[in-house]
Amino acid sequence: MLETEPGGATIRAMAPGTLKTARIVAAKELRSCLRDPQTLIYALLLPLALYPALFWVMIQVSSLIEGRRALREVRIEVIAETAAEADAALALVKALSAGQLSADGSGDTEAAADDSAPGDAGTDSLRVLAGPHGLDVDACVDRLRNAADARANAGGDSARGAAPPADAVLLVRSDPNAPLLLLKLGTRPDSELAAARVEARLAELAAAARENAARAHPDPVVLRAPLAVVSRDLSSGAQQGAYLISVMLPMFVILMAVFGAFYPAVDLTAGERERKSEETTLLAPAPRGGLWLGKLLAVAALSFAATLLNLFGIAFAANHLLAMLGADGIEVRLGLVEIALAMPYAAVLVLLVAAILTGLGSLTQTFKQGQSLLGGAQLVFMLPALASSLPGLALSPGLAATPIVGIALALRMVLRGGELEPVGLLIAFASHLVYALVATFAALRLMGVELDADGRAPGLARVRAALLPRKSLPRRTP
Amino acid sequence: MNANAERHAVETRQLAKTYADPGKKGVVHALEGLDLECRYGEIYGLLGPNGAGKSTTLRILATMLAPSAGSALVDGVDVAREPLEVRRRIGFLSATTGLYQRLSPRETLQYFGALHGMPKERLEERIAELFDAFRMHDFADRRCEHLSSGQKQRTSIARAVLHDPPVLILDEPTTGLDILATGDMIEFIEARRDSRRCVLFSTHVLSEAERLCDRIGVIHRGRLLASGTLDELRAMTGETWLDGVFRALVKNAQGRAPAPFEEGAPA
Repeated sequence: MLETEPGGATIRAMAPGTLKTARIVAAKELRSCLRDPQTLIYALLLPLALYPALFWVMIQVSSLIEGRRALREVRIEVIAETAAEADAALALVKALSAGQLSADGSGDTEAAADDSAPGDAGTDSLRVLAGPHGLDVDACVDRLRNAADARANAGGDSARGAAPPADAVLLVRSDPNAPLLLLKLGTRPDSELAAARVEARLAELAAAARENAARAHPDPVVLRAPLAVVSRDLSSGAQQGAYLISVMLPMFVILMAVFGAFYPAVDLTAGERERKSEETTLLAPAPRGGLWLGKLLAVAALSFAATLLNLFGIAFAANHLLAMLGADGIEVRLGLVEIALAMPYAAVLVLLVAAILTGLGSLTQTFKQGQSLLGGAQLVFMLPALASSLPGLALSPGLAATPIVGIALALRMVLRGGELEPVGLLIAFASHLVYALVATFAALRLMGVELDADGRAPGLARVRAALLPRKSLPRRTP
Repeated sequence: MNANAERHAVETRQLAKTYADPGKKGVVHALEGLDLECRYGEIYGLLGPNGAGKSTTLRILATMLAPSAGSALVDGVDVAREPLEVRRRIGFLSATTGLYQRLSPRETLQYFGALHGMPKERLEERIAELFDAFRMHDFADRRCEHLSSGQKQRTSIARAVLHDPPVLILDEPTTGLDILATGDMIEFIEARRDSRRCVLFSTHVLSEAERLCDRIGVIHRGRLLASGTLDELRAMTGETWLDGVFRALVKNAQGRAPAPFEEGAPA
């Protein structure tokens, strides 16, 4: 025994105060949470691995889609509006059937209408069909629609029976000044693909024609494509990346903070109640305020870890992701300075998130109830986070003090780099610190409302008892 | 003179507890003026039907519930005024007191030892003593979620007596235990009497009460109907067996206005 009293034998020692209790409890709760697979996945693994995993999945999906598109055979039918354009249409069939359209790029220029089935010429991926003569635009439209219906009725199987209908139609107009008319069905991927391939081939043919003309008449103006416009963004890739970060990243940071806090908040409140270890916690010989605070700090710590890991995950994978999305020139620079500047805002954010989710979690009796309640409560954070990604929002004093929106806009500013707006940043930090402290106070009071001997009490009565003194339910002893 | 000879280990005066009743928008009177005294070195059994107020009484003494009226002292300390000090002087265990599933027994004891403020070296010594006493070495570092019910029970007991409290409060401690674990629990309770601690426990199992208790209190509808040794209760009711005593007391209480039997009074 340490020290004993006469008759009794209590081991006497210096009891920890509220803050030390909170530290002991937080350490224990963190240890416990980090042994829970769900918490590990949602609070640590997902924030860190989400973007690299997205990067990997996009590569795989992109490769798969591109591979399937390249192998997909589509058909275009060239039709002459009158018999007078029949020769021109046939010439077009031959030109379009040149081998550059093949999927493997083998350059098979021999394929032509008379090499294939009657009225049929083409390659493995695009077959160019010589259609009938003497059809006007309306007739072509009907023909294309009927063809689509026929294909749909045949189950989309182009390999059965007679040659399948075309996916798009290229009409050679009777008016020599009228351009070729390309008819497609935008709701059908095969039709879109056929039209895209034909357009690409027509562009090549036009370029070749201009080159031939230039050789005959060496005037550089002839080489220009008529009315062609090429736009150029004068922003650097890094600037574009910073803009992208500023719009999207705050939303992701807030979502990840909520993700990181969600399971621990349920686990340490409703989960503990369900596992019947809440009574054990209540027996702890320590100030109850320290017990609740320790739980709340553990949730906040995991939320903070999720936020930080998410930022590092983005810094690692964002450039690869943007390249996969076709934005090769955009460069994401998320340096340690930007991350360090974001930390104070992340800290008040996670405290606010942890307090609200833990406080609400304490109203529930089972893990399932906790998940249901907190699942809806996540919208409190997600909707303002989404709203803050709208273009044109600035860190004005009013918006800076708006819950969640202010933090998102402040994060937008510091993560973007460049010029900072000190007044707005200060208001955002101070106001959210106040919100976080108020939410913490309310959460501690909610957790301190006494339940009956069976560990139950109505949720609304608990809220009233927590927020309004002398209401129906008593408070737990300190 | 021993300081503890002058005071009771547990003492309640006109203890009352009301709960909000959400269904009826009224209140439920779980305890109505309970007077109870338990001495050091004795095992006191609290008997009563379901809903009599046993669990509420014990949870007030363990500071998990706040009394609505009256007073309760544990080891001379008021549960309402100094709840933290009370928690440092009691060990509490019930059939529903769960363990932290993802901690091992060793981590559980280290956690409670830290909250008691026990110095690390002394804590490790004490944990080793308890592991020896309760034969816990084989599963000391296994997570509690993987323990058998008997191993969990031993861990819970070790947690409750880690700080060697003068008062042990047990709420139906053998409920749900198998025969072997029940035997272990009964041996443990008997051992506490020998070490001059007070054990206050509630039970439905009358044979346990007959075997273990130095004194028995019968509680019904939030009031103490009678309190005394088994012989005194027999004398009060004229019944031989405890179940007869219990039924006579409850029947008497249901049949007329509550008038608790006094200790040592004739039947």
